Amino acid sequence: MTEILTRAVKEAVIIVIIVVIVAMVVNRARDEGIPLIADAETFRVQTNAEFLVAGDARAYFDDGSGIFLDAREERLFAAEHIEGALNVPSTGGGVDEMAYMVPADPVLICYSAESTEREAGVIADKLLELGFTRVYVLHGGLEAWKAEGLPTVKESE
Amino acid sequence: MSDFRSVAEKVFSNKYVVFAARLILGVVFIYASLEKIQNPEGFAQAIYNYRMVPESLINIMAILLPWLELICGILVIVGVFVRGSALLIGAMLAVFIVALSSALLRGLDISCGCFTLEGGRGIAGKTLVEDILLMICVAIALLHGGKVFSFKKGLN
Repeated sequence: MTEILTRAVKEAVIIVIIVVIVAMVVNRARDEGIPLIADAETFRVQTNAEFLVAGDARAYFDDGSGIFLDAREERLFAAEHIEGALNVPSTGGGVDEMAYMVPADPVLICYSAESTEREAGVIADKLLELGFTRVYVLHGGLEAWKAEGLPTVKESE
Repeated sequence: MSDFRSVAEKVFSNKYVVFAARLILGVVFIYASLEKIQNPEGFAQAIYNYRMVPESLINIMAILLPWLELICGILVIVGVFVRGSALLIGAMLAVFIVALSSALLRGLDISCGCFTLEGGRGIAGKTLVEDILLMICVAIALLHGGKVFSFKKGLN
């Protein structure tokens, strides 16, 4: 048994060395390569829009004065979304189309999932560029909304 | 009882069973590596979402881990360095199991980053069960190595 393990460990070390070389070389060479150490802002949501916590967003939901925009892909939107929300995937051109459909400068609350909050930041920035001024990103995304016990619509309903 | 044990030993050392275990591990790990290799940035974000790895190590992990998955996956199928690959796959699975359980326990609603990075399936107990089944394949491959269907054997 020890013999097996010793051999396995030796082989593993060789494999790891090969992997490190291959991975580093490929990462260096390709366009999609990333820096070895990410700068501090990489994983934060980058947006010029203001954040809104679920509790505050609720006020706009209750009196119907805010429009909720779901930045996630269609499939995830279909599975569950905030009641009354419109689906504007961050990867599509939906933001421009939507801009024609809404009344002048409404309150727009963009959200996605907590882990993909950057998507909400992406559409929020597009909306700001289009001239909307009351654009917010729902902090913590759909999860934060649900944590407050606020209503969503699920696929089966 | 000893009958059961000898039957189990026979089954797990059967060359087809051993090869099937290697094939399963290889296919799963190669498949899992592909999208991550294509999109290191997305994978880095998926790692970040687990909130377990210090930020300074996230990118290095996002660069190395997919290649480790791919190369171990290939080696375990072709039968070269099977034991070493199985050991590394086992170590990766152990890390995944810890990360997934901790995310489940903390109630993180994040995508698992297991096979696909965008959306994909969330973390569920099911993923954990799959990881544990793969662990059994690791044990088989580790014990019996590349005795059969091995390129190395052909070379020797």
